[in-house]
Amino acid sequence: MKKNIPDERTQISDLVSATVVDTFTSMFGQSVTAEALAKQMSGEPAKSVFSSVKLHRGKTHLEFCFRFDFDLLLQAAALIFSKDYLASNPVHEDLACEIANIVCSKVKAYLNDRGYDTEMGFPYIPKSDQNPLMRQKEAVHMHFYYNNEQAQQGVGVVVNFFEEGAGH
Amino acid sequence: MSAANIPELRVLVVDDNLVVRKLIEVQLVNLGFTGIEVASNSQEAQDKIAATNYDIVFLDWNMPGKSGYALMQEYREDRKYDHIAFVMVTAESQERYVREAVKAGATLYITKPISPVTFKEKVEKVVAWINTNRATKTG
Repeated sequence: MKKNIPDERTQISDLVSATVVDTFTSMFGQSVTAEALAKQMSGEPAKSVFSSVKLHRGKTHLEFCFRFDFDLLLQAAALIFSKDYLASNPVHEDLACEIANIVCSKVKAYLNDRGYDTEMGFPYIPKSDQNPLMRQKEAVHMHFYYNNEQAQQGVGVVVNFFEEGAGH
Repeated sequence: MSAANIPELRVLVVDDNLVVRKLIEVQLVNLGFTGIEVASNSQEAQDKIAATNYDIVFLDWNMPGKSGYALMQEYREDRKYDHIAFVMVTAESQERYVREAVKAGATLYITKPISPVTFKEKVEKVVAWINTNRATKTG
């Protein structure tokens, strides 16, 4: 039985890809596409929403960071909420946390089925100046694309994950 | 007691996430439910259950504070709430969680992401469970 989470990076990446695509498609009616390598896009999203989840395992933890294009979340939310409601009630952070929760729960189940004893924390919105996305070179980076309302393709979701505390 | 008529069923949706609460509410409305209330935590759910005789309670397994799982366990220890169909809604997909939930008295278990097709199938099973329960009590 494997006991080294970095050995599972490929499997975790595949699971994250499948779950992000499935969640957007089946739950929020949005088509997103996973890409193995980041394509050169014309520009970064004008506005992003971040969410994070930590999977704890002893003194180490596996940290997942999600960055969503605000417009993608808005398109997803429009399937559930009326335009009037969305105009006065910000729901994008709840949406970002819920998607992170679903994806990381699948990863936790995968790891625990293989003998890892991981516990999952609640999803949270990181403070922008503490966003680990910006400082982790060892992280696995995954990009997902979508078409916006103007049929222009853009980066809809970026997922990074990395293990912290190993070797301590 | 007569068979369950969907518009007459009283439903409570308990989840700390606004998006999930609304998503379930929208899907229930699409299936013909009208008596839907929501709660964002276990305390609010307890207050509402004390005030209203619900037929179905959708419960998020993991919530800050008292979990939905713990809340369901409490109600299942009291025969007064035997008629309530507790539906656990969670992203936890490990088989052991499903077994635990059923053992603790969950009527059904829905894993996220929730698709409208799967949701409809699950709700039909819940309504069937309510009908069986009512028939047993009157039979």
